[in-house]
Amino acid sequence: MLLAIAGFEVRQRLHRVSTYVYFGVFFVLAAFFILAAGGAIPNATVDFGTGGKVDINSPWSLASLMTLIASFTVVINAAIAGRATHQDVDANTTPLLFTRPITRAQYLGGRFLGALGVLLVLSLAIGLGAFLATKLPWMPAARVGPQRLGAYVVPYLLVVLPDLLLMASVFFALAVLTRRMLPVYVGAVVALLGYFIGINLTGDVERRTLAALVDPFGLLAIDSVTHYWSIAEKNTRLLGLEGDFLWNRVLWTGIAVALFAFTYRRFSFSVAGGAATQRAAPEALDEDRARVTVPHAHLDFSSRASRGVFGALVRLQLRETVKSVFFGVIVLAGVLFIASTAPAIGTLYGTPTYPVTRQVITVVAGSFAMFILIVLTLYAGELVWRERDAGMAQIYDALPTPRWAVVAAKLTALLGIVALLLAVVVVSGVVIQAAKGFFHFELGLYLRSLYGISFVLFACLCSLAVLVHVLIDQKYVGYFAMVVFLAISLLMPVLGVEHHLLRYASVPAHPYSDMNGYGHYVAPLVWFELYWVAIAVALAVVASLFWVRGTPQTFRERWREARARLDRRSGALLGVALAVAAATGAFIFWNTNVLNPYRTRFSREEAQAQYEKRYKQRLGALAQPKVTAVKTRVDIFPGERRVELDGVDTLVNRTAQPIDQIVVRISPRATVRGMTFPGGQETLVSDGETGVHAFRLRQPLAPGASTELAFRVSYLNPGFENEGSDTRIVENGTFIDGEYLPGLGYFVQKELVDDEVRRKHGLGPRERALDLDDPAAPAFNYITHDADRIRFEATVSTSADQRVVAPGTLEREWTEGGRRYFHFVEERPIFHYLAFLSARYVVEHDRWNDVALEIAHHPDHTYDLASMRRGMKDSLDYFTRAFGPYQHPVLRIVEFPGYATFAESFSSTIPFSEAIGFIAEVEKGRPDAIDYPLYVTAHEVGHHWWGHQVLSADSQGMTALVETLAQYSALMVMKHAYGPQVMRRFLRYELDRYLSGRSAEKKKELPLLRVEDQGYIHYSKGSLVMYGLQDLIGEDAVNQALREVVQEYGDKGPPYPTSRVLLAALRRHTPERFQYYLTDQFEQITLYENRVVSAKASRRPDGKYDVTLELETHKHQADALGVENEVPLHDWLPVGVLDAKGDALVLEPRKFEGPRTTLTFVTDRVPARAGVDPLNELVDRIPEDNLMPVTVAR
Amino acid sequence: MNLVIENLSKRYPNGVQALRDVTLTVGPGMFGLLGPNGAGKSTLMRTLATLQDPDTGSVRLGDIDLLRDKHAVRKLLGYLPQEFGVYPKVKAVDLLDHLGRLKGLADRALRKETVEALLHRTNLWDARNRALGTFSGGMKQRFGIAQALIGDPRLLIVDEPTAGLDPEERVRFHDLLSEISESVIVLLSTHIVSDVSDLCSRMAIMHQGELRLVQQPAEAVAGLRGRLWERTVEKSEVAKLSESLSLVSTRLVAGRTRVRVLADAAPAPGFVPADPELEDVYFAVRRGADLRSRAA
Repeated sequence: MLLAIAGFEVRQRLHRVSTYVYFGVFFVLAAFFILAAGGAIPNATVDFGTGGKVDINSPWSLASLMTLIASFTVVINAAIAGRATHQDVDANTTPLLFTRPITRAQYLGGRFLGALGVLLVLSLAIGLGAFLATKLPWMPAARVGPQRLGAYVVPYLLVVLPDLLLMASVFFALAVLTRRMLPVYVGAVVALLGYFIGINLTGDVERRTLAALVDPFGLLAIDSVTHYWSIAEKNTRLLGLEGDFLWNRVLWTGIAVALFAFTYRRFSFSVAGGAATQRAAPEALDEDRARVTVPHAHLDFSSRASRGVFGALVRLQLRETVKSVFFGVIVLAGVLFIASTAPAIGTLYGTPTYPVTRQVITVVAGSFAMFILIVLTLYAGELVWRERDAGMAQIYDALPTPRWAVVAAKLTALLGIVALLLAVVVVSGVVIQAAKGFFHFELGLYLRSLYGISFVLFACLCSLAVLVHVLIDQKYVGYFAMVVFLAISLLMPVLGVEHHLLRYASVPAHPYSDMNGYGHYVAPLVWFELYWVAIAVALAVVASLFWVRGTPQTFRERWREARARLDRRSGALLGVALAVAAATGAFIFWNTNVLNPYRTRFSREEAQAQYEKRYKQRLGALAQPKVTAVKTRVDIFPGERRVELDGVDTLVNRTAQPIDQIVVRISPRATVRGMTFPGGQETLVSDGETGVHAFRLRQPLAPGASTELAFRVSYLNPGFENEGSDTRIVENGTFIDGEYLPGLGYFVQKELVDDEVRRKHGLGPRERALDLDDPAAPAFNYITHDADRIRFEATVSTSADQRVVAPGTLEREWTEGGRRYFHFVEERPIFHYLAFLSARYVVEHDRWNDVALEIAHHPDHTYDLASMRRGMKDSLDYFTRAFGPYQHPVLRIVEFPGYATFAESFSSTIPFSEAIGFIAEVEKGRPDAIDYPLYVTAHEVGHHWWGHQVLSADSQGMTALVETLAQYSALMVMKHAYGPQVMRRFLRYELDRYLSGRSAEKKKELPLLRVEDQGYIHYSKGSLVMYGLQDLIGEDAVNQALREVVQEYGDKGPPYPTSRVLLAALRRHTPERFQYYLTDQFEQITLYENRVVSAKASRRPDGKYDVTLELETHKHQADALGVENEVPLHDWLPVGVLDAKGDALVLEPRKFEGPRTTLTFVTDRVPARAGVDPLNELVDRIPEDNLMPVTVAR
Repeated sequence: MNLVIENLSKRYPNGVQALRDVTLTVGPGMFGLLGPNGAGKSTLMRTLATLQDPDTGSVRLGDIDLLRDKHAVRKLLGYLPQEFGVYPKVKAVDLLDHLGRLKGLADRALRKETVEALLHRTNLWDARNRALGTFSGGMKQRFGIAQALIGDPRLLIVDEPTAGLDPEERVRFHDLLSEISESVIVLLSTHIVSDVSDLCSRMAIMHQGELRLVQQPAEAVAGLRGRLWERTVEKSEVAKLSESLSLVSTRLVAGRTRVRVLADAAPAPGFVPADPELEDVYFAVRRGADLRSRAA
């Protein structure tokens, strides 16, 4: 009987077209994702951390992909599992079924199994789609590994089936117990909520376990377990039930079963048979009845009355929506979700930023946007179908309510709902800010951003949603259509459609900066919004024309009716709307495609590819003179976003041959007015697309001789662009660098780096750097080949209310012709690495010895100035003592808008993004709070030694000398300022970054000595390596080695040092017994697996404690793809015993031979935790098991 | 003002011919449209209520072309559909007020007075603040007529109003309908014969999309006088009888089968004259009998 019911259900479903449509959707989705991730689709890249070396059909890839798509099936799951029982309620067959001799178990079980069976069959489409996609000819063969059945089957067993089971149970329960479909859809929303909460929590390494458990789909649990898998493991290892993943599956499967049991117990045939109607007491005859007369009607159909009708309709629709319980549930879910995002707003290294309004808006509105979309889609359907669902349609349709009033009222009610939800966002944002003690609310920004932008775009979507439901005269198909539409519009940029004129309700990205506000994004926003609103109005008119009134008709009949309904007023409105849309569209197109070049991601990459294709061969090895001096005039017009350059570069021929061809490269955004040499030149190439201008000199430049390049260049930004506008030249916060100035020769750095991207543009793979021992390398530094050190002088002007900052000493400042002028001169030769900044700054002055300190910042951003000042002073203190004198008379930090989030060190000038240092909230009272403004400041100051005094050659390992040492310098400053507690927490983050980074490596991992500009190695691994080293051999020894490097290579020209110089210096100061450490950490990729097995202590009669530790240690070495071998361990590893506060009672290196070691210590006070490598200085994939609580025997 | 229907035809996409060349003129007063389920009554009602378009034909309400100028008709229309729902959580008085607003009663005071009066008339005054979801079937129907009556309609279309009501409720409902002004064109569509015989001064019988008879009920009944014969028989005999005689109806009376036959004289021994009722007219029409009276 149970099977009969289940079978009936399945057969029913197979008769319906929708089932096959769903199957097709899953199939296509899976295939599409596989193709996109494999790079088979030219404009589309989808990357879920697979990088370039992980096979697209590897167990790990397939598990991730299938889990992701399974989560998309929530909506369809809701429909099928919910309808399983709701169809009986809906069609009113319950009186027929429930009077049959079937048991509860048979009915519920049969229906559930039937739904589950259908879902299983549908889910097969995912695996099939993935498999077939890997067989398609467009898949690059390199990305497809050996096909393993297990790789397809295991994710089904462990992920897809439990997910389906869970979701089906939830929706089934909701449908059975509430006998309505709306709660089922709300349930789907809440399920997605769990997922998004998890995503937010997982950003922070400290909360990953919680995130893994909260996610009902298991995607985050998988991530938690495989996060650190190397590339080789991802390609071969099958997902197993372990760790967080196991608990996640157990938890959610348990919930599914419990839910089904609950449903079973609560369900009853008799209750479900129909609601009892209340019979009132026998009605007495109304005595007044005979006397009462109905007054004569006075009907008013004037426009005023119609407006009143409109208002009444809007109020009714709004009230009915907002009063509903399920609306409240959705809003509550959204608010909970916002609450879950609140702690993580802008955290870096676990330290939060002040919740400035723009960040709160980004996070809160971003997370809530999904809910608004869901509500909008759901309620558009509910509103359009409300009368028909209630059975009141015939009454309503026969009333003389004007059609425009009906349609407009529904649309207005929908807009009202959206406005209400946005108000929830505002309130939530303000509450979050207040809860964190931050009261600079900027309500105007809330209103502008949420109502001036978001609301307008949502309104356009509302109009579309209503039209879809009107045209598609079936409620569920209408929903499906909207979901498909939303999915497509999300995917459009991935598919290569990037122009916002073609993407409904889409506007160009408009990042907000506290410094620059919306800046030059206001213009495109206004015009695009006008365009889309006009279109939305036209759509609304069409919806009104096609509005269903009366009994359903064929589409031809409806078309005729619509044409008949087109009267003068609606025709005029439609005409005006379309005219406005056309006019604004044309104006926009003129701006985005005619006045400015239209840039897509692909076109930008293509320009880089063309640079390489056209010039590498011809010009790559061409000998060029060196730039020895730059003297330029820069005129900045912030209001117009225009910059004029007029300067002279002095060039010297340092080769042994005469040079007659000179190649100049400048930013493709430049408008070159003139480039001339004394004695004249012939122009060989003038390529605006790639910025290459090549000349043949009339008089060749003899060896040792010098000449001058006179250049006049303008940067113009007329009108507005679709995407990719120049964020360096803005109204407040201009920051132009060497990209905007001419450079000589062929720049390898400007080539495309990523092998996948290169392949798409028809280029082969490329080596990231010259081999470490290539003899040609030391001739060039890695910043630029066209100069060693130069003399620099500049006169920069800007508008009267702004200041300019540039490298060098500010010799003179004056006002002329309503503009301000600044004259900078650099007294010592510096590298060809220049920048000019202009904004309305407030400047703080300070001193350190005879160095003038300045911080130029946005007036409101005063939160972290103390940290920065301390960072500057502590750094100068420490570095001067440790490495040598600071070479400039001034040191400046300059704030620039948060369009990019980095800090960079030019000579004496450190631009610092507003997003990473000026709004950090260093938590007072938390002993391990990481003061990252101080850390970043110290790192940048450190670059004045590592990068400006000593600069490495352009080969492998280049960044080890520069970035790793800057990191080390910053770590030392932090250590002395804050102590080892902070270091422990910081190093944990660095370890996490290293391990994640190597897991996502696209080419190959390399040892530190040979690092090829890989951030996760030179920053994160470098931190661990250097900090560990100074713990082993002592800070002073390391510093001495570094001082020697500065003394030998500082301020010198070629030959430039490589990382071998650093290693040699360190070796000179490292005792014999620790030399292995340098080999392991610099020349190999070494990982440990250390853990403490047991930690016991006993109290001695003299009050001290005997501590015994049992430790297990293993050492592995890995190759470029992460294939590991265990190697024998004869190393000195730090061992520590900590007290309850976390202070070290014992912290010293001990020698380990082999895997098992027992150590004993004596401590003065009670030990709380102990273990090996307590500060996580060594790379260890499971750092949590290094320490354990000590069991103290009485 | 008259309602003039000419040559109305409608065929549904699934092939069913719901209306076949229907022509009818209805003046003020109660007009009953009688017919079995599937006869086309509801299609006709919906068309007249401006909810559906016919394939061919025309309808005029006074000067107004009903098919073209639906909005004008809706101003004069009151419609009680065959099946309708209500918002279960809304109070009766609130929904009635809202519907009155939508009907065009813009003035708040006048509307309030109208709503209250209608609630009294339909005996729903005591229940006015209760949620509509708690109403019994009869109360819901009365609410339906109340909303149809708002705004002094000139054309009132009532579709199967008493189906599903218990006898007491039916009586109440009949009372309500009978009080409607005689200057209003009331079209009452039903398959319950006594609705027409109790209330309507004129009627038409509809069968398979066609109008079979348009006459005053009393005349139609009179036309059968003298031509209707009845006899009580065993069930097993019915089949044989139906072969030779034109049976009008077979029904059970106190457990025994009584047949009625249309004939000019006693058709067989044992048949006695029967006193015709409207029901017999109905059954006769359904069986296609020719009811033209021999008398002038």
